[in-house]
Amino acid sequence: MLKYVYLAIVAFVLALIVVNMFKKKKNFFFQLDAAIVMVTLILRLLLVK
Amino acid sequence: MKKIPKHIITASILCIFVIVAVVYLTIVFRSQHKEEPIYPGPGVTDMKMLSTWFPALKGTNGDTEVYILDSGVPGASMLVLGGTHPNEPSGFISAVALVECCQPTEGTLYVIPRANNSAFTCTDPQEAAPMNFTIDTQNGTRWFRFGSRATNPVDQWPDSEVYVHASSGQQLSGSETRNLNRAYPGRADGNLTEKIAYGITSLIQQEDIEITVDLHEASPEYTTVNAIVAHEDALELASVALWDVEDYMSITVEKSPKNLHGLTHRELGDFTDTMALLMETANASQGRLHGRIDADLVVSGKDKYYARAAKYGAVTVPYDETGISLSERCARHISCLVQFAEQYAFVGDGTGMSLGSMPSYKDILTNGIGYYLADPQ
Repeated sequence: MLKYVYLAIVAFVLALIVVNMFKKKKNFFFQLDAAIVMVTLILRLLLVK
Repeated sequence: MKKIPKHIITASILCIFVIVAVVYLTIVFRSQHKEEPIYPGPGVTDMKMLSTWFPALKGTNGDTEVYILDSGVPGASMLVLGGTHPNEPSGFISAVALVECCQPTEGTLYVIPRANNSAFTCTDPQEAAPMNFTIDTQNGTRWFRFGSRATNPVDQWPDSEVYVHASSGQQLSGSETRNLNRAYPGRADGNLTEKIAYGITSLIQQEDIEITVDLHEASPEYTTVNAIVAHEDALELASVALWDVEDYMSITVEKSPKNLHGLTHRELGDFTDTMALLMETANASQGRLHGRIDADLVVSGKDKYYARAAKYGAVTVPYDETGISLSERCARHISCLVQFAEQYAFVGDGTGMSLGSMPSYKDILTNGIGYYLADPQ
């Protein structure tokens, strides 16, 4: 059960990052940071590693 | 026509890169789920899955092969566990060598090369460890995975803050929740790691295994290394085996501490009738003093920083620029296993056990462990 709570939190944080990445005018390096974090979160969400 | 804002364009491009990276990394990480081939030798009479003894493991990543080498001659039985910690490759490779070239002449040998099968499918975080390494055989090169100390978190997650060992109440760091060698005797309704431990305990009980040996490695600066750790019921067997192997290697026997729970040499001895032993060799790719960790370090055991540390007296085993190779580490394990089997007749219930003509310590050092592994097919 805890695993699914964790995955829900990961999905929520991932969604916030994606929305935030597109929503406002941002420095490119902030967007790059966000993209790198997205990679690890997606891998976690898919239970790849 | 409305112009698309620049930050939307850069975000879109970065999202494409994210997708490409995720696909690439998924392929790389998933590749570690592919099992390295093990070629059963002429001594193997049967192969079963661990779920045969504990059906709840069936279909999980904890289920693993159990190779049975029955000599056909009545005698004692011995279980060898390799791959309890897949980042300690001499245990795994020694077990593979038994499966591929051992032909027992008395008694029955059970071998589990990948005791924690799940832990072979990932590496330890923050260690930058290689995912695999290779060994040259007589006519080719074999690859083997270098896994993690603990069960893959994909199979068992999350870890508790504090790991409480079920049968003793002992408290350890939460990361030990996925350590097979802290989970014995295991629980039928526990987490995956506890279920694997329970499956191995069930095998020992149902098959009346007389000797159980768990093969490990430790860092050269660790205090319990080049050692046999024995449950009090197995101390005599370990001591008698030492008479022979001390002629050509430095090794000690240590008594299993009664207050250290969850380990094979304590719990299997307490909860079953088996003589429980654990062996440790020195592996420079573990510990905190090595330089870059790669497949060569795993196999050659050569590390200039450990050699320097040895000069300062910071390691507990003889270590110099020549390193401690995987072949030497396997030679130690295999030589002791042969002696445990041979000497059991003198300290056990009178039944004998023999692993047949396994290569000697000197043979393995001279030819390399790859010489005794099957060629890739």
